[in-house]
Amino acid sequence: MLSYLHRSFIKKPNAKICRLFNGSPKVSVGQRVLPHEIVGINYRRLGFRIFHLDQILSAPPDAAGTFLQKPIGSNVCKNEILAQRSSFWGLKKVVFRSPIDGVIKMMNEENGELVMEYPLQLITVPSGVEGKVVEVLPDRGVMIESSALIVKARLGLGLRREGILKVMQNREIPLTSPEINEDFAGKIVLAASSVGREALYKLITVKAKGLITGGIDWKVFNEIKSARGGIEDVGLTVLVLGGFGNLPIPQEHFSFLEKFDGRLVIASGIWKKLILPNPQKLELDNPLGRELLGSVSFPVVEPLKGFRVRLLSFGRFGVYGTIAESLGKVKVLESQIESLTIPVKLENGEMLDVPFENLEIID
Amino acid sequence: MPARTLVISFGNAFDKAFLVEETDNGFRIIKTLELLSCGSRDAAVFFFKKLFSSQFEQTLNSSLSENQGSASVNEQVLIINDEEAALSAALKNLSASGEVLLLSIGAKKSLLGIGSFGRVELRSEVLGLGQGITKLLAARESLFIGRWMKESARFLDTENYLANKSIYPGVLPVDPLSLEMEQGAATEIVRFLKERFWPVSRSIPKRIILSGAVFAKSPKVYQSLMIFLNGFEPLGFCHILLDQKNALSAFGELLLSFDKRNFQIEDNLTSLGDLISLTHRKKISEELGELTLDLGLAQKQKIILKSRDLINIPFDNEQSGSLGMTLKKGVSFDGPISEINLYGGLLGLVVDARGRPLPCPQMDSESRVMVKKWHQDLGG
Repeated sequence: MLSYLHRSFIKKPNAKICRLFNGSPKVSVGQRVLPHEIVGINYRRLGFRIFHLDQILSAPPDAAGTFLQKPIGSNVCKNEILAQRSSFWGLKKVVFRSPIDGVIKMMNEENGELVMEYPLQLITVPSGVEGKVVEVLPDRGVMIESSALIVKARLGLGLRREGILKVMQNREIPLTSPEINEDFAGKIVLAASSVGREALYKLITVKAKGLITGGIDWKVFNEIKSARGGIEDVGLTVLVLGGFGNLPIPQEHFSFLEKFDGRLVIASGIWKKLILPNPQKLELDNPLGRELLGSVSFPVVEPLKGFRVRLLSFGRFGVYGTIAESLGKVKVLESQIESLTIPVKLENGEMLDVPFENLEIID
Repeated sequence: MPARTLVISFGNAFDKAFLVEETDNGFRIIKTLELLSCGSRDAAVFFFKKLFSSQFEQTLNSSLSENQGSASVNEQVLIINDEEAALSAALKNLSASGEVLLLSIGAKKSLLGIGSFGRVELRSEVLGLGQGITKLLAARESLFIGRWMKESARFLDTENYLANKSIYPGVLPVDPLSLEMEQGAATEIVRFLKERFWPVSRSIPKRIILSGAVFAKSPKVYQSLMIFLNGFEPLGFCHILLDQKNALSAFGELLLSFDKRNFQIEDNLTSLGDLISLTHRKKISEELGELTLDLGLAQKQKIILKSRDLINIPFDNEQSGSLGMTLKKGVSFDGPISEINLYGGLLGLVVDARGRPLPCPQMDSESRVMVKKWHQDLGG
């Protein structure tokens, strides 16, 4: 008989990590890069401001442009004189100083509006990983070959996002909104416990980039999931490692992920995976410090004595244990359903006969 | 057709294999095996061949009788590529002699089919007790599911348990509460299918077939009937058949592949019993009329019908019988009220005098008592 199989970590010694910047690349194919090296740049437009110059200068709309002290297209600094009008034979002077750093974009002579654009912001994209550039995607990004570990999540939503991993320690109590502040902006938050509705919305508000959690309630997940599944985006990528419900991340997984605190990670909700670039050699070879199953490619496997398992039954969902015997036996469950079961020794020492279908082998 | 064929069906929760033998009249299932969905067809065939080998005989022989023989990996393998086409072929066979309604609840998809003298119409919806559960949870509040349960459960627990089935569709309900959650969800799926595909004015066929794991694996057969009864709220008379081996699509595929005109799938279904449903809006315990049951015994049995009652009269399908009714004013029955032929089955005759529309339970303690009584009335 078969049970579910979950591969906690997938080793990718030659992972291709895409760094997108939608601008000009600063590296070439074959070049080796370090995490801090800039691989591409881009300029981001920050928007416009409109000033009613005719009203400010008390001038007719079609004449307001004649009082500009700088030509259209000029760069101006904050407090620099933009326009000036003298009246009463030079006795009264109205001066308009620029409230922002920016560029004079246009002067509308029909309504007297002056349009100023904020200066373009330079965005530099670091490599984030150590590796070799294998492809340059014109005007889009670069592909870097590097080693990586991939953590498979059970649930996910949101776009692919990258950020610095911020680890929240408490496994016992769900992450609450008062714990979340502006420091979380741009971070991918690893919450050892489950996460409630308020905390999730607070993370979106403070502009955190991602959340990795053990469990989440169906209702909360469904609220932030759009009608088109995980394809549409709420501005936060969510990865759930355990399933629906109040489930902390298992200690052994958490202890491993903790090592990546402060390092760049990439989370993809659509693909339900967390990419951990550049693990140490030992981390890559044997992340959980125990013997793994090898190259099984099916989502199911025959359970054997000694396999580490997670229970999927109601009331025990997410409980961990070890298979005590390889041979199964037919048993009538409490629900009166007859099923082939296998004995499992739980972490608290309790022995339990569990149907094969209600087990997930953790590799 | 070779002497024996291994028919494999790939499901969203389970992959199934049936070792089938040819008989004079058609086919006979020798063995059935079910595995968690393997993710790929090659993997499923690999595992099934492995399990049908001698090792399987040693470990699992307890559930199979000695004289059924063992399968070898050299049997012909027939793979069901189009589940709906196979079910359609099965329904065509079942409806050759009259109208029949098929209700099938799967992990991802559920289906309502009508067959009438060989003409078949199938309607399906992405809605089920596995991957398809999220659509149900999004469409129906969890209290809609919880109202069909004997015991109350936290909404959050019901939602999370069922939602986890979208990740692990093969998980079995190990305790009575989770079993009730699944059966409550199945009831809502049936209601959803009826609302969506069944015209209000259409009469219900005399034969109903229930298929899918939630019906087939119910530990007590009355639970399968209860899902249908509460979900579909049938009117008049109907005979209920259960696809207990979950083999409807396998038989359909065999019929598509081999010419067996005399084969009757119905002989391989389990007869649950006959169902009589009355329409009324009377108050609780008010008298509705009298039912006269003729089972070929010296005396006819007379049963007084009272509002809100669910009556179960054991009556196996080896016997034959008929019934007639005298109904009071304000009570109606969809069909003739005398000389109704009975077929019997595991449950026998079930009379649903709860009224139509069914007084749906709420989430209060009174409703829990009412649902418990319904289950007790049918043998729960």
